Amino acid sequence: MNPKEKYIRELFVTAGYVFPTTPTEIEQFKSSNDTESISPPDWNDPLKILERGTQKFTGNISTNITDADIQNLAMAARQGKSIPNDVRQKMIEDKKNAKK
Amino acid sequence: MQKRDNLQFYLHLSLIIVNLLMMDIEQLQDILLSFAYKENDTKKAHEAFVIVYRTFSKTVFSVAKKKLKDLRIYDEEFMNTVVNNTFLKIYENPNLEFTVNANSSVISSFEAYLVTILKNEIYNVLRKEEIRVPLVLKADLPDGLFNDAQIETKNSESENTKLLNEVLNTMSERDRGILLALYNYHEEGKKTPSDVLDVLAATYGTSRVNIRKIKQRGEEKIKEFFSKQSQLKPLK
Repeated sequence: MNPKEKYIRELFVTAGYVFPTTPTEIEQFKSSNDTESISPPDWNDPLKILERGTQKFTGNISTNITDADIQNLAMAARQGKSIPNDVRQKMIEDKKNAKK
Repeated sequence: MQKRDNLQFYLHLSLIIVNLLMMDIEQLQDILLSFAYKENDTKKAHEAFVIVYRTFSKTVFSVAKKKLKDLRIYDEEFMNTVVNNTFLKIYENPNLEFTVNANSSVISSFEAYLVTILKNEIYNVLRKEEIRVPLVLKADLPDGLFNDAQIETKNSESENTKLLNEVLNTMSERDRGILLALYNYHEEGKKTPSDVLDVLAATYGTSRVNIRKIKQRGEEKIKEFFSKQSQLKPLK
C-alpha cells in the first residue's frame, strides 16, 4: 500500500468501516473497544466447536431495519428507556418474518 | 467423576492461558503443530484448541459483533456461525508458516490473522447469498440507538471520523460503496479478487477500469478534504 492508501485505511479502520487485519489495527481496535467483557458463546466448552464441525448459515440474514423500526427504537431511546433485549429481538424477528 | 475431571482439565488449561498472555512464537508454533498432528495425539490437539479459543475468541468475537452491526446485520446465528468456522479453520488447516509481524506481539499478530479469516468467512457467506449490504455511515443513525453493553467504544467519535463521514457523504452511494468494498477486501501483497471486482461492477453498473478510477477519485477527494482542514489530527 502506498502512504496515501495507508492513511485512508487507518481512517476507515478507526471509523469501523474496515476490518482491523494488521497487528497495529488490532491494537487500535482493542484500545477503542471493550473486548474483555464479551462472552463468546463456547467459552465454557470450546470443544463443542470441534464436535459441531463447519456450520452453514441457513437462515435469512436480516440486513436492514425499516424506518419505522428505527423511529420506534429512537423514540424509546429518547425517553431515556433502555430497550429490553427481548423487545429488541422481537422487533428484529417481526422484521424477518415480514419478509417471508 | 466426569464433572471433576472436566473442572481439572479446564483449571489446568487456565494456568497455561495465563502464561500464554506472554505467548512467544515457539509456543504458538507448538499449538499449530499439535493441530497438524491431531490424529496422532488428539488429547494434545484438544488442549491446544481450548487454549487458542480462550486466548483469542474475545477479540475475534468483538470484531465480528462490531463489524456486523456496522454492516446492519443483526443476526446472532450468522455471527456465531462465522466465528465457529473461523476457529475450526485454524484447527483443521493450521498455518505452519505463520510468522509474527516485525515490532508486533505474537498475540496481536495471530489475532490479525484470525480476523482476516473471519472477514473472509463473512464476505463469502454474503457473496453466496448475493447480499449487497447497505453501508450505513454512523452519522445516519440516531445517537445511542443500539446501546450494546458488551461492545462500548471507549472514546467518543473522533474528530477524524467525523471529518471522514463528512467527505464520504459528499460521494455518491456508488462511489462510497466501491471505495469501502475495495478497502475491505484488501489484503497486503494481494490483488482484489476478480470475483469481487465482477460483483462490484455488476452491482453498480460499471466496469473494472472505472472501478479503479472511482477508487483513485475517492482517495484524492479524502486526501484533499483532510489537507484543507486546519484542525487535522494526525493519526497515531
